[in-house]
Amino acid sequence: MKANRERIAGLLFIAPFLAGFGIFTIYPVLASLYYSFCKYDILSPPTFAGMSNYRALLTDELFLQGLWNTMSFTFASVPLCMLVALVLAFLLNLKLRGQALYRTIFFLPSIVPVIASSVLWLWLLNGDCGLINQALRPLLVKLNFLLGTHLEPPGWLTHPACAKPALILMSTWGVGGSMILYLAALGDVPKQLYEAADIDGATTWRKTWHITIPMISPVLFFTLIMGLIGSFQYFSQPMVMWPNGSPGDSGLFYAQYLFQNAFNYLRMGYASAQAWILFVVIVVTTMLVFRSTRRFVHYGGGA
Amino acid sequence: MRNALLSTGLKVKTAAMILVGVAVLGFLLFYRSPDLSAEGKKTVIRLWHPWGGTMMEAFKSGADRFAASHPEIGCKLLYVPNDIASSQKFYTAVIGNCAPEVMFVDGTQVAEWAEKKLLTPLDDLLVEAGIDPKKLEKEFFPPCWRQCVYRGKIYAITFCADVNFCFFWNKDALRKAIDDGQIPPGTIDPERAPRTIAELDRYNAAVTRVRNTGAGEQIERIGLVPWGVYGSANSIFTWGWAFGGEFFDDQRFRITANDPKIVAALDWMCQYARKYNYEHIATLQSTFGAAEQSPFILGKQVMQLFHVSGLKDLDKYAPNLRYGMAPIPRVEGVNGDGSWVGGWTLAIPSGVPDVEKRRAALKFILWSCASPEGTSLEIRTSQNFPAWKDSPFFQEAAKDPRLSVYMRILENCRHQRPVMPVQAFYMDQLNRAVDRAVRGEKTPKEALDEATRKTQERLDELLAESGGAR
Amino acid sequence: MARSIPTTPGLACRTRRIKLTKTLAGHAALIALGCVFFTPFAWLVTTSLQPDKDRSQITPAFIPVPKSVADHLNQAADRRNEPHRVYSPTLEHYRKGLTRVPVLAFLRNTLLICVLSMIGAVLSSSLVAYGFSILRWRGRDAIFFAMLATMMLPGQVTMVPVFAIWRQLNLVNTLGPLVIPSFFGVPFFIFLFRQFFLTIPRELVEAARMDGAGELRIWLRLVMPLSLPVIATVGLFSFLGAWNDFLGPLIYLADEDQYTLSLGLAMFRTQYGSEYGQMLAVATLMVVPIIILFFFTQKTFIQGIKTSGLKG
Repeated sequence: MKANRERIAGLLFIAPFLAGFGIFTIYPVLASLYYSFCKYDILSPPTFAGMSNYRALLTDELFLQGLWNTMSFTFASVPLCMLVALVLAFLLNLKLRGQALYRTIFFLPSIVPVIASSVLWLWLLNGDCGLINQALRPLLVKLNFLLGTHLEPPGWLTHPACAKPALILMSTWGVGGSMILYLAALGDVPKQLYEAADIDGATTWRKTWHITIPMISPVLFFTLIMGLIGSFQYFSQPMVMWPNGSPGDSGLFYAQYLFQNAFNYLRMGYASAQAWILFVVIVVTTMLVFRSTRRFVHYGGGA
Repeated sequence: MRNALLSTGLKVKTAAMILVGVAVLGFLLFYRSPDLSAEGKKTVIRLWHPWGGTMMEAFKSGADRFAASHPEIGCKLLYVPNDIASSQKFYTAVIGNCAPEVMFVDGTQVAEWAEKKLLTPLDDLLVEAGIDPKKLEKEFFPPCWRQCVYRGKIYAITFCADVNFCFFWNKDALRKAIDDGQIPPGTIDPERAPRTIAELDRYNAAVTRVRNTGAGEQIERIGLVPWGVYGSANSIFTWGWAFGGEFFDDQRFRITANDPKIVAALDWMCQYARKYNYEHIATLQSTFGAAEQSPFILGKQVMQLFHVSGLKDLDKYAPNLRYGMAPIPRVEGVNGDGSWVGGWTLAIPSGVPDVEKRRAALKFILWSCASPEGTSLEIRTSQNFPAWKDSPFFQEAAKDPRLSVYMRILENCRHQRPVMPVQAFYMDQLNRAVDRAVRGEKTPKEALDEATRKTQERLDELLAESGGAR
Repeated sequence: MARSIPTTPGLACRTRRIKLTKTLAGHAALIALGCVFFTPFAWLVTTSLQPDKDRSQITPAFIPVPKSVADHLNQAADRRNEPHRVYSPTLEHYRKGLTRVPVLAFLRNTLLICVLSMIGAVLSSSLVAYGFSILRWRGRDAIFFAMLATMMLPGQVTMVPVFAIWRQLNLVNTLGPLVIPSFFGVPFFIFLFRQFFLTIPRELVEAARMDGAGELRIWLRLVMPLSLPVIATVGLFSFLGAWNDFLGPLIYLADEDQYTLSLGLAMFRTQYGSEYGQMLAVATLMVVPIIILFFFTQKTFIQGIKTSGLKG
């Protein structure tokens, strides 16, 4: 009886979402699924074409390369960003003087328009005379002299092997949002837990690992899932940086190729097939994460 | 005491927040933007244009002039940035049946949109307005007209002729190289441009200087970077034509990117990549877009091809640079210039049911592209050459020694990008082919063969889709 | 903390020393990282103040100093054949930038969208999240996962049908498509609210139910007040999202009177003849109020849900 009431209440509470889902989501999602089995150029009605889009994708090198680029970027950048955000949050949580200022500063890159920060990165990473290589070159000269090696500063933006590391480096700048979430969660960890641990003589490390991390795990989990979903669909930054194509397509991301197919080449059917494959990849990854972290995510109120 | 302070602090803060809130609310409720719409006009046409930055006011004042001389027509302008997202706006608008009556279309896009029936053919409208399309054609520079004609129908009219490109060389740098003893005196005249590719190679070899830093080599000065002409695809177009190649057979609808002459052009480009190390040259060029960072302006690159907008950048960022201007060097024996034309066109999207609006739209197009007044507006003085030969603009431009070089190039221009419906795809394939080849991953032949094959497949697929098999 | 442990004076002294070292190390790390994170903003401001001609060297001059100093140092740099490091700032880009684009009108449109979508996001997303977390019912987690899944399909392929729906509703070229969706709850924020709601002790909710409070009342009177930091965060994120949104306004607005600031920024770009200096000047003006707002309200984001006393 009570369970039934709670269910009705639950459905009522999520009614706004259900309504929006019904009006704005179901039809477009199903339509795109249908398009993925069609030849469809957006402008004329789709014609059914069976599995041909999916079959064509299997032999499309750019599709595979985009998938690889995106996966490797995701698996490097998401954990790295979480780590950086966590370190920042811990540092700020020391409650030192001036933390208001520090917090604002760490959040700054997240609000600076991409166009401005992209131009900055292009200047920093310029292989000939960017600031990073200007700093690296004298170091390498000494190193080469000492070791007899022939090291050169990397062509960050022009060598296929360097493009992704450069993008991963860039992504760590935008961790301000996660940092704020972590700070909110850290502020919520009950002090008594630490006091009790102090009495037991626990080290800082142990306290962090056994109290702090589990207590903020719901937020860590949130940023992990959102980070995954976001970076699987990442593409605007490389598109700004390499408007005419990246070196050896090392900066061609899955969603960018999808976008090109949909709106530059007018192959919406093909793009939809790509989208649905990406969808499956993300769903599977997310499910795996849900499964494997279930034991580690600790909800104070119980799920 | 402390508590009291704290609470006043809190009060001040709350008060400040409330104040900010009220201010925002008041602003939202009471601020009314000045009404920009064209009221009181009989026919109102909506116009999408890409002219931002320095061009915006010039373009708007031009539209005002049109409105002044056409009291019955009102023009509602909408700035649509020339951005990767803009095609999304256009396609969704077409689907939603709310496309504008007139819009600027990039020349490369005309054929594709014509094939997809997104643009209204102008032939009948022209005839109805008492204009003979054949006669109008003669008034335009041929490649400018050709880029708007697809399968025998006129789908757009070129608004501005982008002259691609003029060859610039830095006279001071050449002289310095001679003074430094890098070039034997008497072999190269710094006041004279290289005319042929062979000569260009000689200049290049003479001026390039590489320095060993102890951590790899660094290029101090280089001649011309053949793939650095406004992106790889535009570079291969330029050199492909300079070598006498042809990219598309419009009689048979065949992609011909692997034309032996284009392969030779790419092979020539690759020689530079091998000789001076691709990576080192590439790092010179890796800053994007911003003109003030162009290695030519900074003096690191001695020769460069520029669009006419390069003049403005040179005036702005390198006013003291002494340079010369000339047509693009070409392979000996190739007929005519390798230069080509691109540029924005004006078109009427399909699905404008109102005849009056269509007529008004055509009036605007003809006024802007082919009338003495419309082709000599302020916007022309910046970088927008008209494509209409009779424009008074050219009489003015002929007095300017630099613009007249561009004029001569425009008059001799024979090429435009292939007019076919998978242009965007083709250009991406060409970008890729050049990238792979100069990087040494593929031979020029392999790279261009692949681009040809893929683009042809795409073209055939598209033609089959629209049932217009050829 | 130290109070609860019985200590000898010597130990206290050592603890203090450790604490001092920790403070210093903390500051050192914060300052070092702060410099790194401050660069993009510093870059933005410095470029917006820079006369165009000073940008024209490979690494543009980046330190603004008074004119006399700039002239002196740059002449010295010229003699040594080094690039300029300093420039004398100018407000020219601000002056020109603000007149080129109708900033006030765009600001009004942007604020309207931002405020409305913020309200929508906070209200609806928290309501929906309540249904996904505090209430327990069968099928809940399945629907929740389905909701997450809607974020996993790239928007490019649903954009055209979604536009068609708005067109059917006759809401294209209004603020509707930019504002209304947030009133149906935004999956990202629903998920975020849910994560925080789930940490609220069960006993609190049960106690409120015992007192006869209805679910709506519990949401409004118990859960929401406990969640101020999340509310603030969602408010901030949704505000920022709307503030910076480019694609949405571009596609759905067809009237320059309705354009937003992010589209206004794009107005400084064009194929030949972009005005980056002016664009960055306006971008700076867009960013600064947000920074100030953030600086003064940030405590709200991080004070923690005030349940500490009840947990554990």
